[in-house]
Formats: sequence, structure tokens, C-alpha cells
Amino acid sequence: MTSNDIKKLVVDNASFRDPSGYVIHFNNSIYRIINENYSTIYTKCIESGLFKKLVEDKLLLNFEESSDLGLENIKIFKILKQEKIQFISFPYEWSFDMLKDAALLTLEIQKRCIEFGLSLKDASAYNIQFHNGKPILIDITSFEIYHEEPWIAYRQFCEHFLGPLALMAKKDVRLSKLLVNYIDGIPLDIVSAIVPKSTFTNFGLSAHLHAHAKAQKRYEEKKIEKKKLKKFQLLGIIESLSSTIKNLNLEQKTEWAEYYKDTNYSDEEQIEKEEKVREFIQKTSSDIIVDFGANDGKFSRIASEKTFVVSIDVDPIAVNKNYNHHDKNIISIVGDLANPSQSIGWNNSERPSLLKRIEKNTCLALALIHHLRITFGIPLVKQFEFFSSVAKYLIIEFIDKNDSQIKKLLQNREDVFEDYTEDNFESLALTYFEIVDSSKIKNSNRKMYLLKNKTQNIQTKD
Amino acid sequence: MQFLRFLPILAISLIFGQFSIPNASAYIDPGSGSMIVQMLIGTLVGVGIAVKIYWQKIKMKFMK
Repeated sequence: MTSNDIKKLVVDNASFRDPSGYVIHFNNSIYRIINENYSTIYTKCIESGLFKKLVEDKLLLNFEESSDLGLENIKIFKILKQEKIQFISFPYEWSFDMLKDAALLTLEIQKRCIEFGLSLKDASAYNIQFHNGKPILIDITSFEIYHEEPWIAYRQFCEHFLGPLALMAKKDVRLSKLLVNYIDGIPLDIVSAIVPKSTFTNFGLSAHLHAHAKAQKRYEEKKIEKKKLKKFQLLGIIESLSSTIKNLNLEQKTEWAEYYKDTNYSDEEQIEKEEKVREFIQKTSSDIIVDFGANDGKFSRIASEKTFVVSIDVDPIAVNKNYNHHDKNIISIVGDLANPSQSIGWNNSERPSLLKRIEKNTCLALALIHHLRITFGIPLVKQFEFFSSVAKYLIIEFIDKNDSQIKKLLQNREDVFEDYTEDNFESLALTYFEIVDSSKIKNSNRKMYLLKNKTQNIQTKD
Repeated sequence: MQFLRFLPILAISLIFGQFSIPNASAYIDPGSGSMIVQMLIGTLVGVGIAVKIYWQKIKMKFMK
């Protein structure tokens, strides 16, 4: 390795709390450094067969020992190269079932590793990523030797998983947004205060949430000596957490959940639009496709025939529906284009913003811009400014004001949206893009466009 | 839930054992209250299993 190469090694901004190891980005790959102080545990994880089993069962991200980095240091025990996650996402962007599946995965791993004489030393939701449509553990240094004592990660598990899931299921699905501010899990006293009193009839929530919150307050600054917690007792607690979480389910229906039933599409219009999208996508090239306002992912699934898709929608129920298809080539996340998630954490750089992560790729903006204009008040000129910063190619739909869905949006308000016309749309598009193709959907008020970015800050690959 | 009445009593009456050897790689705060709650629930797990076994015995007696 030359000294120039060493400069390109970047330590991951969130990888600093755990003394056992850390993550490095190099050459578009992910490497995990295992420190010398973790050698015993790492060796046990390998020799006991735990890692092999977890990787085989797709619970732990695959990895291999690597000498790519050529780093030598007495503090470094091993360097591992990990399989790449297509798109990094964070718990505050996940839908209910994504967080639930991540929670159940954590408990499943804990249950299994106890049998191998190991235990999870942390249970942060950030140790999980979504890969091929399912959650997977990415943190290889999450393990410690198992002793018959209380689970060290129990508090973190309840704050990262149980609490937020209880808030979403028992009170309101939108409460997951609290995870943006409470980056290390939502404090249990807040959850306990918000969830309805009916949760007291649920043993799991009474114990792991309410009693837990009270005990935290009572014993806050007290030193206690650890008592033994036998294996069957810990397994009982894990089982109790698992069944409590399995019984948490979403009940809400939001405005978008039934969207495709209530739209004004005829079947022919629907099919024609799908074919157009498919045709336009074939003319683009990028690493990923970002589907803005993806709803339940109908068009994401078409896009996923070509490449990996990041499906973004503001409606958590629609995102949940999308996720439950478990498409291997799609990740669906909750995101508000009018207020995309910011970079947060230490120095505002631990968890990068949504826009940083989507970079510049092919974007879909189908049945979107009229909502951004009318509901969110974003003028077309600002929308195109935004799209030019994130889209190499833009597949975008213009729906004119005669459309019944738009009429519905305007029924109780004054039409102040003078900029929202086809002519203005095309003229603004041409400021940043060239119109590669366009096509009106027969017998409808909709027109599809394929735009290619022509501004200098975009490098097109073809 | 009846058991909740006994929570404060049970919590206070827990017998404190010895320190186990601290794990050098365990960097997060386990939380003192969290450890107490686990020991409490763990006790209930023990009781629950005892009740289950006892219940099976009663059932078998009645079936004879």
C-alpha cells in the first residue's frame, strides 16, 4: 500500500464507541478491524462454529479475512472484508415491520449464541441493516463471553426496539420519528408515559417497559452487585421479549394505504404507464434507482428489474406494505422529501443525511410533483433545482389540473398555483435537463417524461 | 395484574450476590435498574416453570 492509498482509508464516522474494533471504508468496500483485545472472543466465535452458522442462516453479514489493506499494527488482530450493503438505512427511516423484524432478529441471535457460550454485548438497532429484503446483523464485534448474569444489552434492546415498537403499535405509528432525536433509543419513561393504560394488562409490556422504566428511576445512581441469572431464566426473558414483540401489530390505516384502490386509473392507463416506465428505465444507467413517493412500491418493482431500488415514501403504512414483499432488490424507507432526514449524531456526522446517501442516480418522480406543489407548497422551480442535484436521469410525470385527483386536492382551497402548467414544467425542465423522450398516457391528463441531466455537476456514465 | 402489587416488595427483598468478573469488551452501560428488573423477571420465569411442572402433576393425578 502506498501512502496515497493510506490517505483514502476512511474510518467510519459512527465506528468509535466499541473498543473491540472499528469499520474502515476503502476502495468502495467495507473492512472491519478486529482489535487485539477482542482476539479471544473472535477466536471463540469462529471455532465454536457460531459465525459459520449465523452466516449460513443469513443472520450475520458474510465476511472473509483480508490482506487488502496491508495494515500492520500490534493492536490489530484481524482485518475482515464484509459483504457490501446496497443502501445504508437507519432505524428512524424504517417502517414498523422493519423495526419489528430487526428486533426479532436480535433476539434470535442472542438465543442462539447463548448455546455457543457467547452473548450479545450490545443490542443497538444500528447493528442491523437490510440486505436482500431482510434484516441482518453487520456488527461482528457485538459478542462477548456468556456468563450467568443479567444481560448487559437488555436496557439497550428495550430502548432501541421494544419501546419504539410499543409506541408505534399502541399509540401512533408516527412516533418512530422520536428515534431521530433519541439516537440511542427512546428513554423508557417517555414510552411508559405515552402508551395507553391498557398496556398494563399485557405482561410483557408491564414487565419490560413499565416496571423497567420505574426500576431505572429508582436505582439510577445506586451501585448494585450483580446476582447470578441462570441460563433458563435469561432464555425465559428472551422468550418473553420475543412473544411480546410478536404480538405488537400495526392497526392504523393512512390516506395512502388504499391509494391504488382509490386512484382514477383505468386498467389500460395503468398498464400503459407501467410499460412506459419500463421502457424509459431501459434508456437510463446508474448504480441505483431512487423512487421518490414510491407509495407501496408498484413502480419500484418494475425498476428493480433493472437495478437496485431505494423506495422512499412519507407514508409509513405504504412503506410497510412495500417492505412486506421482501423484494431482494428493493429497500423501502420512510422519508419526507420536504424535510429529508439530516445528518445526526456526534459532530452531525455519525449518521449521514438521506440526500448524502442517495447521491446522484436515476430518479423516479411519478404522481409526485403535484403533491409537492399543492400539499407541500414547493414551487416547480425549486423542485427542479432539487431534482437536478440528485438525478442523472429523471423519469417524471406531469398531471394537469383537470385530473380528478388534483381537483380533489383543490376542492376546498384557492388555486394559487400559477406556476403549475405543462408549459412552465417543460421550460423549467429544460433549464437543467434535456427531454430524451415524452409520452402522454392515452385518455388521461398524465404525461410521462424521460429527462437527462445536462448540468456540469453531474457526470453521466454513458 | 396481581403480581404488580408485589413488585416493590420483591424488588427490595432481592438478595445481592457477588460481583462477577467485568468483561473488558463490554462498553455499554447495562443500567442498574435494568439488571434489577431482569433478576425480578428471571425469578418469575423460575416460578412460572415450577407452576407449569406442578400443574402437569395435578393434571396427571386427575386423569388417573
